[in-house]
Amino acid sequence: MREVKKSVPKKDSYGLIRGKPVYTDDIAPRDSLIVKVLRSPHAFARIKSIDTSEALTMSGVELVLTYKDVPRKPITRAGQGYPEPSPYDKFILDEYVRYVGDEVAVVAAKDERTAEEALKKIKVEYDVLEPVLDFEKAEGNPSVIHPEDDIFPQFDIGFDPKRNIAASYEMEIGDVDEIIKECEEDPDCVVVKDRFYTQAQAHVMLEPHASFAYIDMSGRLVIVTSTQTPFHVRRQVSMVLGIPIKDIRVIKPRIGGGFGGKQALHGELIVSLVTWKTKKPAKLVYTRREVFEATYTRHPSRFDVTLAATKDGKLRAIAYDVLWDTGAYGEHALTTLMVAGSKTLPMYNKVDGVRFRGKVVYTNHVPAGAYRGYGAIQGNFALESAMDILAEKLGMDPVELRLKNIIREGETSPIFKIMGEGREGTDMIIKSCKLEQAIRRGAEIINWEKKFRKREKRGSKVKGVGMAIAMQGSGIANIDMGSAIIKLNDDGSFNLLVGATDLGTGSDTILAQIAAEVLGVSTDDIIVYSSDTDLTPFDAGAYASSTTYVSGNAVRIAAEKMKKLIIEEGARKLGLGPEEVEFDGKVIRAKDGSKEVTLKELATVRYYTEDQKQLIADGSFVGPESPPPYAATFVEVEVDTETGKVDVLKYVSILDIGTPINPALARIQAEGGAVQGIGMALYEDVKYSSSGKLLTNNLMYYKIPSRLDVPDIHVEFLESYEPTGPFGAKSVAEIGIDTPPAAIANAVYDAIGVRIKSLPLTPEKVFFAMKK
Amino acid sequence: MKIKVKVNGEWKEWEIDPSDYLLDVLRREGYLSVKRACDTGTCGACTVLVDGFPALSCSVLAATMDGHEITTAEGIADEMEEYIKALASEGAEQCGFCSPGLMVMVYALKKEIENGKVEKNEEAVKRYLIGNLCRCSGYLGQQRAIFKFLGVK
Amino acid sequence: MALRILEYVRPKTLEEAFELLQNEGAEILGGTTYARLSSRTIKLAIDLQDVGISDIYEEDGYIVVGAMARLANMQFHDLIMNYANGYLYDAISYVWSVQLRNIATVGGTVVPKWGFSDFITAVLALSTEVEFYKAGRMKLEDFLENPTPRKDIMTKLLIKKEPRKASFKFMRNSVYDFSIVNAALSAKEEEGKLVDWRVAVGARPGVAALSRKAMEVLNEGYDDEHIERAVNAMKEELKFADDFRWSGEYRKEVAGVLVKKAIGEVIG
Repeated sequence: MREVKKSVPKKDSYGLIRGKPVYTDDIAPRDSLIVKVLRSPHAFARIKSIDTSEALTMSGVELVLTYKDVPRKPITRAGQGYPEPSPYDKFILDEYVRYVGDEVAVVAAKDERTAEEALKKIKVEYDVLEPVLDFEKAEGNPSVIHPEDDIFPQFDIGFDPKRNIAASYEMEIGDVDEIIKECEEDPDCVVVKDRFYTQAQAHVMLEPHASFAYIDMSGRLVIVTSTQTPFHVRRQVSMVLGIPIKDIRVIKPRIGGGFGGKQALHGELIVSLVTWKTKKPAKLVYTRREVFEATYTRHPSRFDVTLAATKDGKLRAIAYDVLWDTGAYGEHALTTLMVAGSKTLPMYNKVDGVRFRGKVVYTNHVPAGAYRGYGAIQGNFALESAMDILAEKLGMDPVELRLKNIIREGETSPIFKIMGEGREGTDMIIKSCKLEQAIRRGAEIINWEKKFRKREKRGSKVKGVGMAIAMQGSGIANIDMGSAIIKLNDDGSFNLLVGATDLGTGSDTILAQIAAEVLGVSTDDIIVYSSDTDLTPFDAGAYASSTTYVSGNAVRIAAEKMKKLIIEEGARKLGLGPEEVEFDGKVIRAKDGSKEVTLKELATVRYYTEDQKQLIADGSFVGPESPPPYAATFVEVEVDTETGKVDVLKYVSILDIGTPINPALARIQAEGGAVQGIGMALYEDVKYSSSGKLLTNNLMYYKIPSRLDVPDIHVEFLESYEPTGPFGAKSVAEIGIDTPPAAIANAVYDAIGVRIKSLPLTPEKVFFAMKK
Repeated sequence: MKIKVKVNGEWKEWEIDPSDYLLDVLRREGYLSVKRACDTGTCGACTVLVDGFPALSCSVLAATMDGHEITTAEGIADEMEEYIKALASEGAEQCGFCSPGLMVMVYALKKEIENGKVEKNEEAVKRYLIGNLCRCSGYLGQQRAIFKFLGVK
Repeated sequence: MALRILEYVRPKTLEEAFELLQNEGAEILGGTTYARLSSRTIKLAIDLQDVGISDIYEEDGYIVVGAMARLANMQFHDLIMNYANGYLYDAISYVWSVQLRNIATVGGTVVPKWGFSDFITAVLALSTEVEFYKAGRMKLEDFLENPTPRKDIMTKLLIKKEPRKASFKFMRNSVYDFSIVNAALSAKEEEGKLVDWRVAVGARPGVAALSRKAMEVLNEGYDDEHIERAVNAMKEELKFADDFRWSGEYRKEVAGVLVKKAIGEVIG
């Protein structure tokens, strides 16, 4: 391998670091109307009356929209493939507002100050309703968050809005209650039952959500937006505004991070509406406060986990009862819930019974949506904490307990078939799995045997070690498709056109590396253009750890076709048959060495002089399966027993991601994921007021890890090859985030014997738990 | 009101509103490396040099800058070629949104180390850069590049 | 939501600034750092950068810090770095970020009596005074405990140069945060003894305050038994309250830990 397994700098790195104007807000037309949104001050209310007349008379105000001015068409903003597994429960603007921050009205004005002044002039009378702010009291609450009758799911997702249920799901393999009962009665068995909570983590991508729209010379609507899913945006805008798909173009420029937060639609519908009505360019850039209060969070959760095992550590049954808080709208309600099972339960595939029961409830909080590691991280915290509790009860080393029960190469799990994302999954035999090696290697590096339960003291501080394992997927099998086009230029370089969406991860570069490897050329000779619905072929988008595996396979296929074309055309030029020549990336040469033509010569003559044609090839790929990457994470913490403060001293994560196409970028993904997971475990606390207003709504109060909070992180990729992936690759985007919460909570227990079952592990929480 | 400011070595005269923050004025005038990300003086994406010292342009009123000298990432990028290479080879710029502000800080840090104000060690470098948040990289790749560029052993 | 300023002036003298301030709706621009979060309107914003109160110098046994000196100027000033073993240099170095310390002024930090301030706690633990243009000079604790002089301009912070040993402690979860609670202590070295103890605790979440009871106990002695009594006296005397992030009870317990550690450091 020449171009893959190589740390090529990102193609956009120089421009990005130098601060070139490449993000949505940088390139918006200078004469764009500035769009601002009036947001609800109430957690739940009905708009009794709304008077926009004064705002409309202000000089410089172009347009004011309320629910009366927009089509009443239910949608989901989830940014998923069609038909979406999320309920159509949202309107662009509605007479009900369902959380503090929900959209009440839209203003478009000549500048920001005028737009803001105009917002103040809109008079709204609210009929304030009793909000549902505790997700454990949402089901069947007399306050019904979605009382309207015109909302619906695309297919059965367990949708029951009159009981505040957005989705629900159940499955069972074996008779789990029976196994648990047996184990409870059997002195040679152990049963663990425990409850865990996770919080509404915020994505905090540095670039706030931004989009603008304009009408092009032929009257079509062009939307430029900081999105992970340009094709879904096009479809959704078309559906809601009734503009044909052919009249919409969506372009994603460089975007400043996403982490799932830009999978969904945010400002796109609003700027489209403004531009379509006024025929003028319009721009909406969220403030950071709006990003916190009015986009999405991770789904908060409650897990009741039951584990049953024999005394020698063989897991017999796992049962989850899950309650999931989707906030005011049900974007990703079912999929995130199901992933809590489908991306954790198969790790322990030797059980006799496994059950998953989950309900997703509506509350009057900021809606939840997709966030890196969705479902998996919540499930991982619960399951891997419970495994630690079980190990203690068994008197067994937690490392040994994992090794006894984990999935291995050549094995399968019935979960793969039963649980997918939003619907049934697909059967899969695991073709690459270095989980066992990862556990052994991680234990060695952290020095597990010397440290576990040793509780080394230093003044008021005590050290502890903990571990957790995880699995993810690589794209959504049989659903999400990626495609690519490669065309040859007259200098022998190639344009690679992909629908895939680089959110800063470097996927444009990684896809170029894959094409270059197939074609035998340098990555520099692949010019990538991505994420433009007019010019690039379809791609579902950057989510679910899909780009390297799904889009990468599409690129591989297109490049293989291109290579075949080059050989055919080269052979023809040489007057030989295709089997008589070979192509080394530069030259097409007769195998007997008698004659040759360079790629550049061939490309030039095919453009201008001989049998002129454009050499062009395409590839599409939809994964027949979603091969999981794996991680084993070991941490060493130090807990200050006087204050409850937890410091992570060392963080070791051993990963099986198949072939790392670009090891430097893979490493950054793993490290960055780990730090986001550490943030969720220790720092990122979410607080609401008693009336349902998000209080942690800026970066002063919502603390993402700073560089001084980041421990010594050791990331290592094991030699692994996934035969279904491009050059053996699986995914790396999400796997790194899953393990920190459980590993850290387990390490805290190891240090001080106190089990924290709700995230984050703030010093205050640890302190009072120690006092108990 | 009018202000005169020297931006990246060139005197400019701008018409501003007294309520304008420096960040918004700079972006309006085309200095788009200066990013608006947190609005509350925390993330460092809007960092510029004022009279040679790093400051948060989101928290400085433009009116107070009359007569002062401002340097943005655009003004130092050519001098920072070696740093840009180091960061790019780690892939640590990732989405890049925090990168220009960070580059301004690293530029200032290099000067502070040369002046003996900041010690040349890992801890001191991290403390100097604490006000530059990054959500993609987890900081470590950035730091590998920065330590290399500054010669921190 | 943004701060609205109708008119901006930059007077050349304190007299001029003071006169302008007497206008209705006129305000001194402090550090402007947190102004972005407010949606107030200031009719006349007075910028003091040209009135000559930015210097740091020594005078009559005091380190004098102009109210318009930036926290970073103060942090790196020789007088500060060499005073009490660099105690204030250290304390200031943990205030938010370099970029903020380069724009936040001493006056802009002290006058609003920010509860979260580490800086106020740190200077309160020394013999510190503040000077206002009209109201004149007063002890920092008197300034903090009484209503702020209205329509007046803080001109100086004055730290008495005396042989003090001091310690500043804070509790945070993320290092890059406001302190959950902070504590600063100092004592004067006199003939091999530590006298005139000062114990300040801030971010309770109210603004820093002295625990005079703890100071009394420590002035009697600082053996283990006195230390224990001082810590308890502080916990009893000072008010700790909840805010939306941390509970008063937690703050109180941790304040005890910090004060005890700080005493230990001062004793050496």
